[in-house]
Amino acid sequence: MQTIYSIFTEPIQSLLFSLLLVAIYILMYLLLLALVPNETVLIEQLFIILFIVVFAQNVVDAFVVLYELIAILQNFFMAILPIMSFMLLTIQTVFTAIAWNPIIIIFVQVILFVSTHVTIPALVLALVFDVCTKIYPAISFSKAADLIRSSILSVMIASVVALTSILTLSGIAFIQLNDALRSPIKKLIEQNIPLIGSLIVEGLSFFQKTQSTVSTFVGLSFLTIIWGAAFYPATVLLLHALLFKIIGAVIEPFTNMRMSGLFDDVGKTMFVLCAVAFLLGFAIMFIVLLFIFFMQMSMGGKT
Amino acid sequence: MIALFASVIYLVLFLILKQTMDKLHSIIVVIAFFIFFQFVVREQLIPLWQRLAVIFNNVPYSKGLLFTALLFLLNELICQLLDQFEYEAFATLVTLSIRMTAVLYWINLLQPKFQLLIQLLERLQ
Repeated sequence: MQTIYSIFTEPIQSLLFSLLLVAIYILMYLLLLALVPNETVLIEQLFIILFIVVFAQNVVDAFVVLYELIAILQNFFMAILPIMSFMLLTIQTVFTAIAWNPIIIIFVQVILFVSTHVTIPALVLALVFDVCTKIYPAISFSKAADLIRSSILSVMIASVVALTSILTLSGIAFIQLNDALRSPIKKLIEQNIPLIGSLIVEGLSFFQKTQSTVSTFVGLSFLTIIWGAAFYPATVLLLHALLFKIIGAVIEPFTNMRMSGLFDDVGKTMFVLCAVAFLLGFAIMFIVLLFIFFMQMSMGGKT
Repeated sequence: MIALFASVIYLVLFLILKQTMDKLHSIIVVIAFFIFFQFVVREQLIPLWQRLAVIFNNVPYSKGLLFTALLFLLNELICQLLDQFEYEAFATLVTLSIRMTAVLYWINLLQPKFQLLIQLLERLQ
């Protein structure tokens, strides 16, 4: 029980601790500026580097979370692929033959490959660009970092749309994409969480649409566990990203634009990272649903 | 509070000194400055610094920040003294040296953390 409890409290505790740390550093910054007004430039530079060093651990943690997720996913697909093939061979009904569409597995593998080899290095590059820009503002890489972020985000959204449409076309998903179902709460989330709000909304509505169909077979608790496990890393990353955004907002009145801009840009990059984690979470969900559907077919249940 | 009264007395003494012995004035000013300086540092600056070090004890790099501030503060005082006797080039040299000391100190302090970042970059390859 303690472990489960700590899984949920730990990210929030670290967030609060970081906020407190930032408050103390801002206090020291103001103190130093008051005591030594002549060396403002050097002290500012020092604090920017100090912030980078102190919060580098958080950024590295976020990347490590994503790497672990990808490693787990690779093992998961390695395990699930033979089982699926075996099921296909044993239950040769017409429905499974139609529903079995290897393009989904290939697509998910492509997503994994792109995530490890393109997306994450590109995001690290964006992060390095941002930090370099803030350390030495005369040479600015901010446009390049923005370009990297926006292009990765568009790739991610395109992947989600492609995954959804493949599933819908191949008849595996029982979802009709219906915009009218969106409730006002979802709209609120979509507008208030920057950049990836629409992804979260998509996940919520997807869960809502599928749960009624599938829960008759496997039960709601199982689905909730799977859903939580699939989206836990994304939620942790979202907390990290929000942390940087909040810090940027908190320190803006007390310091100059450089420091708050640094946190703001890092927060943006973390949001894109979070979008990647969400996409991988979607992939897990889709594969699990596919699996459940196969079970359902093999036992003669109706979809 | 004592410093205020002391400074008034010093001012009067210096003015009298300037009238009577103009040649020795500057050297006596320097000596008086250092007497006053050690008084302020020992009675006020160091207790304040110890207090701050206790308050920010658990914050990472707080000792380094306080040390840097102390270094810059002393540098500023010495430079003001040098400027007063129109040795600007010498003051610039002292400032440069102090800045380099601070930068070197921070590089040594931050080196393990930067290696962590470099490890992350290596991991991506």
